[in-house]
Amino acid sequence: MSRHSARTRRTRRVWTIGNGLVLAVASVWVLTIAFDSAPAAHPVSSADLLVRDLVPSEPAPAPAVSPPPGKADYLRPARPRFGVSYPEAPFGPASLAAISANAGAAPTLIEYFVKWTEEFRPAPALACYRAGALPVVAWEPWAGEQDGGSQPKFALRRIIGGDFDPYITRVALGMRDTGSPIVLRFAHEMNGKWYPWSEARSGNAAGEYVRAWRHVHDIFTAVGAVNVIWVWSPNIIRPAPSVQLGPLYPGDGYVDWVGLVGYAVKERTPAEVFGPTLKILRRFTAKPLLITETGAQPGPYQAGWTRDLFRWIAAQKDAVGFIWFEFDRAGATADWRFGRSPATLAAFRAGVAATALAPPVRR
Amino acid sequence: MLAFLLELTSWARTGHVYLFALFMLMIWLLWAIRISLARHYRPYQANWSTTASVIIPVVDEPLDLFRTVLDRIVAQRPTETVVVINGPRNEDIEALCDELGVRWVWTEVPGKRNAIRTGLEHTSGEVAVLVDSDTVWTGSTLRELLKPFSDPQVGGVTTRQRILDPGRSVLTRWADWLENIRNEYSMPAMSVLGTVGCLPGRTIAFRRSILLGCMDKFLSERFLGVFLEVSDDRTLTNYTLKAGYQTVYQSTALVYTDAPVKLATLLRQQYRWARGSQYNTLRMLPWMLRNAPVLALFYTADIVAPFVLVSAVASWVVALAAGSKAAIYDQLPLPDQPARALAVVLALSLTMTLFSLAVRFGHHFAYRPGDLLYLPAFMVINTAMLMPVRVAGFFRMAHNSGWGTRANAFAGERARNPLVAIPYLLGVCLLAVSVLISV
Repeated sequence: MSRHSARTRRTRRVWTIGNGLVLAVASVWVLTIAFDSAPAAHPVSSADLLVRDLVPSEPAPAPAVSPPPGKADYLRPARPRFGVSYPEAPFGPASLAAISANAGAAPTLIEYFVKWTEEFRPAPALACYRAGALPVVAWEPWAGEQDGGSQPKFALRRIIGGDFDPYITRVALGMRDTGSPIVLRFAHEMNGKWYPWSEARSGNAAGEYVRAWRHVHDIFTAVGAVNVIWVWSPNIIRPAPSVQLGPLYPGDGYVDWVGLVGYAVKERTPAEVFGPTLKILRRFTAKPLLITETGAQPGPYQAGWTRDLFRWIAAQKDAVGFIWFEFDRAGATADWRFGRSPATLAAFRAGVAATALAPPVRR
Repeated sequence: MLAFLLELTSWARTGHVYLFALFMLMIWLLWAIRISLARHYRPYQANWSTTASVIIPVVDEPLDLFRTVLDRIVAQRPTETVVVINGPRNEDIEALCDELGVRWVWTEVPGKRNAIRTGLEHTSGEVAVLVDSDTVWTGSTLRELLKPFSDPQVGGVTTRQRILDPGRSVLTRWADWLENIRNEYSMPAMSVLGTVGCLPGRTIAFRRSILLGCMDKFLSERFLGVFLEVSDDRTLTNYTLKAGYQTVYQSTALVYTDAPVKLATLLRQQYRWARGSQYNTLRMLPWMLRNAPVLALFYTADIVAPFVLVSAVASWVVALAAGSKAAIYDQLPLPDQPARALAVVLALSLTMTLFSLAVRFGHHFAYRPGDLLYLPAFMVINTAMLMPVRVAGFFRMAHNSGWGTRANAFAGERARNPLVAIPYLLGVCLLAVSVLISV
């Protein structure tokens, strides 16, 4: 081997090793990050996994025999409800008062969000009742947005497999013990691909959503939490046209209301926003409809759309009502607050005034 | 590279198979096989002298270039040299040969294959060296080229090829890069096994006896119902391998050749090569599977890779059009603003791609780090042009065709051929399998 070729070989070796090291470090970094949300070893004893061990032994069968008063009365309201979700919900009495003043009536549904890293607290539900509203709990099986769109720790498979049974049981017991109807909106917008409980994420597979839903529902039934009103709440199909809704529906035996999330972006009427999806839903279920999140993009059509929403809801034979998503850009993708523009505010007030709404609730 | 790693983790976690990840795995695996084989490569060292006849088929060539070509050859004193002018007469070239004292013959029949036969008839050296009329030898090309024939097992030898003055344009740089990758990875790897699948025609030396034995088949043998004039070098290599000889690469025999500077010419050349090489791969596959499985792997991968990549790109386009977000990137901690997230993903993936290519093609970039600047252009040419051209070449494999880059050259025969459908069927199957994997 000549000296020249020895030198070129050295150049090559230095180059390859240098670049190879950089590549290896970068690859290991990416792989670690991508894997770090992998299921952590969860110290659960086999006894923990058994629901019956966690249920206090005395009362279980009693409430199952006669449902607590209330739920049946709310299932098919004669008049639609106007509801609201806002950043501090269900607390922040000043915000709630301002919304009520703007609307000209107090909302009778208040929606708030609970992550699976939070225990059930009765206080928010009771705060809703104090304000004359049914609590609508959007119960999200994730640790929150900051942990990303895929959260294998909360994979549907793990829910089905019982990894969360202790937690679910505690929440079910907490809800049961409030003794009043609670609207439970579990794992909403499941037809979108953006939340970790989507079947397209977190390592989930087709068919697992329904199994997870039923698993959760079964635990609630087992502990006698029959005061819960189950809302299955997909997004309208606009952003996820290719996902079939039917295969995600747990079945009429597991659902009390169908919910819909839909915001007006370019649509000029509520019928345009909800109509296409509703048509699909009605192919497989006749359960009453609750619009669980809505609003209209600020712009020239916002006021007209808002006024139409009340007419549209009133015209639906089976509508439970709608929940206005009273968030600004800090909490949502647009400023959906109806009080922002005088025209929309007036339209909203006119809608509330012209529509025969359901009365406030009482415990 | 970033997408590859993220798809791998996603794959490991969810069992969802990503086509692109498969493609990249295949690429890295082949790379690993090639470098581990190439590490054992050594050129032949000992001198070996024998009678050598240089045969140069020519149709037309710029005179000053051809003068250089002949000058360099004559200076190395082969036993004999003959220029075979094929097609229409070319009095300029005749005059040039006369001036340099090089024997020339003229054959009216166009086509390189016939020219090679004519050249063989007019020569007698133990080794026949076939040279393209635009290939410039360096000082010791012939001496180095003959060394491997000291081994009686060796039937064919090829040279190291580089592009003349690669700095002229992006295309010549790309061609030089491609040649050099071949010189540094696939050629030595195949040579170690004694089975270089294609001895490139710019300059090849064969034992005369082998060529004589296969000349009839060389001029007539059909496959898929068609006689393909192009890819004469690969065809001769195949006959040599089938005759039981080894084909090797002599890295110390260096030649320079020209590369197209126009995109259209380059695409036609690549298309011609794509057809010829895939045609011959199918033809040789049974033999390769029995006698040279590694070679079969390399060449099958050559066929499959473009299909996989084209399908992967198509599935991305479909996914984008359907509006689904690139979920794999959510595994990274990205900033909330979409614009910034996009910038981070782009920057990260570009950096990782850069380093992965710097490693994978280190034998080139270590000496020409400046070419790294042209990498984006190389990637565009490879992905957007070469891969589709290869797929198209596969489909149209059994159609008749001429050379594409030369006027007055063999133009192909005109006939209907039902076997044309076979490559189409195979190609559709390949695409279908790729698509099935990706959904």
